[in-house]
This record gives sequence, C-alpha cells and structure tokens, in this order.
Amino acid sequence: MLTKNDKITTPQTIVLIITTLIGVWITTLPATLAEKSGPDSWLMVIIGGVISVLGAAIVTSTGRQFPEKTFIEYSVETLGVFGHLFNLGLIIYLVILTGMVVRIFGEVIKVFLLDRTPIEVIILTMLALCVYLTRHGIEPIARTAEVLLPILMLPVIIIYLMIILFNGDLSNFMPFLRLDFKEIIAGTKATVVSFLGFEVLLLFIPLMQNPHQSTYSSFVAILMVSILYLFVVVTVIAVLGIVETSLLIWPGISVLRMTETAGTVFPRMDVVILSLWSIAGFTTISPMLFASAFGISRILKAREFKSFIVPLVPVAYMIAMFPKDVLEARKAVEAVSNMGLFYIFVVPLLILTAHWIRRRVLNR
Amino acid sequence: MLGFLKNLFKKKQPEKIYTRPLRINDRLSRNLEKNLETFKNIFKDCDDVIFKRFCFGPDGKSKGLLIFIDGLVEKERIHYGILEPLIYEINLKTFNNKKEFLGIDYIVDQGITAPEVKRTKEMRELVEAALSGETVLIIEGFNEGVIVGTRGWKSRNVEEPTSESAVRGPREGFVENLKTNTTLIRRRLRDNELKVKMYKVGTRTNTEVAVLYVEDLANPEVVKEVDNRIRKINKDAIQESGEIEQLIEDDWLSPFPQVRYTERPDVAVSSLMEGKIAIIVDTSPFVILVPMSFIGLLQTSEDYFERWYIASFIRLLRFTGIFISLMMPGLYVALIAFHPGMIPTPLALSIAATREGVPFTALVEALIMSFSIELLREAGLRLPAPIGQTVGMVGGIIVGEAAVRAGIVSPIMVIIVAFTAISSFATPNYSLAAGIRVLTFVVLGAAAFLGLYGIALVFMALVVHLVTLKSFGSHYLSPLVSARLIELLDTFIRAPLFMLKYRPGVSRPQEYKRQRNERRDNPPREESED
Repeated sequence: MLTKNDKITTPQTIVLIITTLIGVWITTLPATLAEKSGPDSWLMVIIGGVISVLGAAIVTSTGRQFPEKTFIEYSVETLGVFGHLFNLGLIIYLVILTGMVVRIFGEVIKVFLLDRTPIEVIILTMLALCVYLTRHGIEPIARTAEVLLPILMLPVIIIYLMIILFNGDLSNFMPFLRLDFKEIIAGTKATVVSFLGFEVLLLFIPLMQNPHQSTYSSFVAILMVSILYLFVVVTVIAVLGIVETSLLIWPGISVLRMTETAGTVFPRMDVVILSLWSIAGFTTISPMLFASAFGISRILKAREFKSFIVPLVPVAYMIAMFPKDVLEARKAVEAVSNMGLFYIFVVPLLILTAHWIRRRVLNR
Repeated sequence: MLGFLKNLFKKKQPEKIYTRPLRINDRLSRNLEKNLETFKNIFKDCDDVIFKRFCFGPDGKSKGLLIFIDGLVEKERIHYGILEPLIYEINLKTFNNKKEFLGIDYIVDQGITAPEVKRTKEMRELVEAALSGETVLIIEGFNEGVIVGTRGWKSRNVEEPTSESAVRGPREGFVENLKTNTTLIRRRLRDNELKVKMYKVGTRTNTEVAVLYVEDLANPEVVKEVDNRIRKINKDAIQESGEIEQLIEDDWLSPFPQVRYTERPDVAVSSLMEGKIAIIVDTSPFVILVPMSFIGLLQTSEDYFERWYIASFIRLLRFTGIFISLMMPGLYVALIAFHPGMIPTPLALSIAATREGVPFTALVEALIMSFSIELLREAGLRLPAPIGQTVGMVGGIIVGEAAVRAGIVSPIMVIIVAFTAISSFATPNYSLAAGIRVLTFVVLGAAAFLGLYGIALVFMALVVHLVTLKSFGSHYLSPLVSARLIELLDTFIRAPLFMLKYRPGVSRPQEYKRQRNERRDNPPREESED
C-alpha cells in the first residue's frame, strides 16, 4: 500500500532541476561575468539561459528517444564500445563535479560562517546529510526539494529586493551593448557553466512518470533559474559596480555584508542568507551524488543503487580536498565544466546521429 | 554486499496472525450439574463470580443456571430481563396454553425480555462473555448457552476534556467506557456509512478495541492496513490507546507522533468526515486518529468554530511557536558563540554586559537552564495540582531570580528558556510538543558545534526525515509535498469555510469534494431613501 519511491512527477522534476541548478554558482557568477563582460553582464545571463535551454533540449530529446533507458544503456546501444567509454567518463565527471561543488560549498561556509572550523568537518557533515537523503531514492529527493525550495527562495528574493531598492544604482550598467564577439563567447560560456547540473537528466529521464514532459520540465526550470540569476547579477552589479564585483571572490554574498539593509532588525543578513544557502548546496549535491550512484548501479547492472552511495563518499571527499585553495578549486571546476558542456552538446548529438543511422540501416 | 546484509535482516518471516491461546477446550454438556462443575473449575478462586441456579417452567421442572460477575452487571437487568420472565411468565403462559415446553428457541425468542441475546456452543465464548460483564444462561438438557447483555458498571460521567480544552466548542469529552465513546460519536454522525468494527486485543486483558470509519469516505487500503496492524498485536495487556499507538505506528524511531490522539468527540467526528479512521480502546479516554499529518497535529477543532481571521492568526501563531520552541536556544547559542556580528550592536552590548561574570559558556548555560525547566515541568506534572503550582512558583520565579542574582546564569538566558517553554506549551498536541522538546536539545548541540550551519544541517535532516515519514501510507508532510496546492488554504491559515471545498489529501479519501455550494448570497442591499 505504500506509495512507490522510484518515479517523480513533472512538477517534481521541475523543482528538482531548479534546486540542482541553483547551487554554488550563484555566488560566483556576478564576479565572473563582471570580469568578462562588464556592464553587459545581464545580457550574457539571457544569452546563456537561451543556450542552456538549447542544451537541455538536446539532452532531453535524446533521452526521449529511449524513455525506458538511461544514458548508460542507450549510449552502449547506439555507440557500442564508445558508449562504455562515455559512460565511464560521465560517472567520473559526475563524481568530480560532486566533489568540487562540496569543496566550493565548504569554502563559502568557512569564509563567511565558520572561520575557525576545519573545512573537512563542513564537507563531511554535508556529505553525510546527502547520504542520508539519497539512500531514500529519487522520489524523496524530489519531495525534499519541493519542501525546501520555497524556504530557500522567499527570503533570498525578499532580501535581494530590499538591497537593490535601497542601494541599487542602475547607471552601473551604462556603457550599453559594447561587447565584441569574443567577449560575448567568453561571457556566455561563463553563464552556461553556471547552469550546469541539468545533465543529470541524462540519467533521470526514465525515473520520470512521464518522460515525454522532460523537455518541458527542463525549459520551465531553466527559465526560472535564468530569472533568478538575472535578478542576482543585476542586484550585485547595481549595488557594487563593475570593478568591485569583478575583484571579489563571492560577490553574491559580499553584497549582503557590505550593505546595511534599511529598516531591518538585524544589521547583517548575510548570515541568514548563508544558512539558507546551505540548503541550496544540499539540494545541489544530493541529486549529483544520487546520479553518480545511480549511474554506477546501472553500469554494473545492480538491482539497487543504495550500496554505491557510501563508497562514493570517500572518493568525493578526496576529490574535494585535492585543490589547495579556492582559486585552484575554481580553476578545476572550469576544467571539469568543459566536460559537462561536452556531455550536453556533443555526446547526445553523436548518439542521436548514431541512432538515426542505425534505424535507417535496420529499416532497409 | 550491503544489499546482501540488508536482505539478511529483512528476511521475511511468515506472518503471525494473532490468535488467542485456547486454554479452555471443554465443550458444554447437556448435563447442567456437569456444566456447573466445569465453570466452577474455570472460575476457581474467583470469588466475584456468582452462580445462580433457578427452576422454571411448568411445575418448576426445568433447571437453569446463571453465571455473571458481581459488579460488572446491572442486577436489575438480570432480574427484569431474565429471571422474572422465565420464572413467572413462561410458567403462566405454558400453564394457560397447555403447551409443552418448547426448548431453547422458545426461551430466547419469547422468554427473555432483555434486548441483547446471543447463543453459542463455545465454552470459551461463554467465559469471555461472563468476564466482560454479560450474563451467561445455561439450561438443563441443552448443550448451548445463551449470552444476555447485562453490562453495567460504575464509570466516570461524560465531562469536559481536561487535556484539550477549548474556549468555544462542545464541552463533552470521551470517557473510559468504549460504548459511551462510540455513542458520543454516533450521536454526532448519524450516517449508516459510519462503521464500527470491534476487535479484542491483548491476550490476557481481552481489551475491546473499536475501529470507526465512514465507509464511502475512508480509503479501503488504509482500513485494511489498520485491520492488519491491529490483528498483529500480540501483547498480553493493553491498557491505554497509547500502547496501541506505539504498536501500530509506522516508524518507531521517529521523534514525531504519527497518529493523533484526542479527547474530544467533535475532533474525532471531523476527522472521520475527512476520511480518517478512529480507533477507540476500552478503558482509555483517548481516541486515536489515523492517518495523520504533521500539519494535522497542529490543528484544533476550535480553528473551524472560530471566524477565519482569528483562526488563521492563531494558526500562524502556533507555527511560530513550534519554530521558536525548536530553534530559540540553539539560535541564541549560535549567535553568541559564532556570529555575534549579526546581533545589532546595542543589543550585543547589553547581552555582553549581562553575561559578564557568568562563569559558563553559552552552551552550558543553555543546557543548565533547559534541563532545569524540563525538571520543573516534570515535577509539577507528577505532584497533586496545588503542590505542583507551588513547585512551579518556587522553581520558576524564586530559583530563577536567585540564580541570576548569584551570577550563575544571565538574565537573557532565563528569558530565552522561558520563552521556549511557553512556545512549547502553545503546541496543541502533547506528544508533538514532547518530541520537539527533545529535538530542541539536538538543535542546541548542533548550534554549539557548527553555529548556524549546524542548525541548518539539523533542519534539513529533519525535513528529510519528515518527507520520508509515512503515516499508514500517507505522506506525513502531506499538503506541503503533494501537488494539491488548494490545500494550502487550510494549512498555515484557515480560509473562510465556504472556500474549503476539499478534504485534506492525507487520508486519501474516496471522495475529495466536500461541499458544493458557492459563496452564499450577499444579504439584500437596503434601498437608500432619496
């Protein structure tokens, strides 16, 4: 009589994608954009969103060809031996990404909240919490996201709105549309990277109750996230200005510390936002950890994924502790994200082509 | 490998369905003396059992035997319902009609005037019946006994419920008598779809348990599940519905109660009308309601009897209360120990001033104060009411004041802990409040180790736990995780009654819609005179 724990509805998918996307990047995105595209950062967010939607369309329309199967199975089916290689690559990518996200998460918490706590403690407690959630399966992950999303979003929106209303100066965006093509490419790539995370859809489509709505779900989710990113980027740059934003490591949080929000009881809202932001980290890391374990279980054709979660923790932890400092971690993330782009834009197209050729050969 | 271990633990055992031990295997004999002997043997040294032999019929030729327990029966009923008609009237009738004495059918159908009559050949059933206050009638020459309903014992009157008082609402509360309790519900719900299923639970106490539900509303799966779980109970003694609750709940590790108990018939009825199931246990005035959601535990009947502004305000107040009682000490410790910069400067200064000279860290201080207030609460609860109040006064005011003066704790800590306790009292469900009180210490510990991040971790872990928790197959966090957004009208606020057109989804009722009427017509406008 108990309800099943293995399929998610379409609204749940949307929420799950949103929470997976909103993660550590929201704090660094304004700095990267301000550095690369200056006053036209807001435009980059829009372009990046559109390109991400395109990527999501590629990923999901490939997945929809095989609604019962994950990437792990259909890559082998269409590409043969190369499929196995791509599978291995995908798992490695997901695990490394998990580790890096945890690391950056830990860094932010350490810098802003717990400056005397060892980062190992922060990383391990967060991973432990993620294990607790992911062991329950995909449906509880989505349900948790459903409960946590409003708790996360409402205060963030209200506080940023207050900041931009009281301290914002839109003239910071003033030299208007003066980017050349190279800068556009660089800025767009930075934004697309911050949308990374929806490649979990490569694995999650067969977990949906209605796989044919996966494209629609990812569209809605990316639209929502784009709006939020746009809002945050505009707020940060409007308040801090281009130069200052590009100099900071985490401008999204620093802006909270630098401004005194008028009329509030507590002078520093950054602490509140950061504790809420650990929710964002949690809802990003859990699906990735789940995706890694789920992918491995599919590769090994195991009956269930639970046994693979705990062994992943030490691996993710070691990867997380590998970079020496924040800057190195961010560089590593940029390197890894190239792999993500490869899995979003290149591999699905390869699979689609192979699938198309095979079908034609079979038909004749 | 882990999966293998898990399979090892989860290995399914053949389901044990509860059966009562058959200690009494004797069959009834046609010989009355022999039967009497058997019963005397069964009720050996039970001096409260009364055996009454009598003769009736033409010329007093037939012999009968009554077995009942002194104090559990109403003797007047035995007199007017069994003895008088049998001894006088049968005698007269048979004498007048010159008819022969026709046997046990005749006695049951025309002899006994008591309304509840049941026939059986099972000795065990007869013994059970006698033990639960019925009267057993056995007649010479028949190997069949008659059970006559004569229950009646001293029990508490229907009074105002003490643990769930309401400003507005009925003043009746459940009592320890199961039949009175089912009556209280039936009187409010005159629907033939209201089913009352009886069980006997407890291999020795033979406690009666009634399961009530509205058949065309309650989800049949849940009804079946309740039936299964009650049948599986294999404990020797059941005294309180709290024991049943623990034996049928989904997750015994959870700090949250997964059923709701109530002393109020109106609460039980409104839950039944939502498609929930009520479990009444004899000898307990607390009725269990399943399946229950977290939100449901924070609602009271008064929410629906009061106007909606007030009800909504009170609900928001309650949610704030539960949040405060969970978080307050932890937040204080986290702010003092890790993030003093977040406190506004004047307040930070005054806190620092009051904490000057306090020898303990914020955590130890909070632990001492929280612990002593729990101690006070427990002490006040167990003592007789007048002394209990004195303990509260002495502990709360005098010791608290003295501790502050002596510089052991800071006054702000006293405020925090007292506020936490008050917030905890505002939670309508006692078990929920108790669970939250335990969790307060967890939050406190996490805050002491990892500050606000620790609190966020505990909070997220709680959300994960609540999200995965089920109550009889329904989501415990029901309206917050289901897609039925319309239910939010009756969650944090209580929208006007005419808007609440659907039953809550937690009970997965068969029929969601519960009222059809649109907004009532506005009163006719007065014609303006001009």
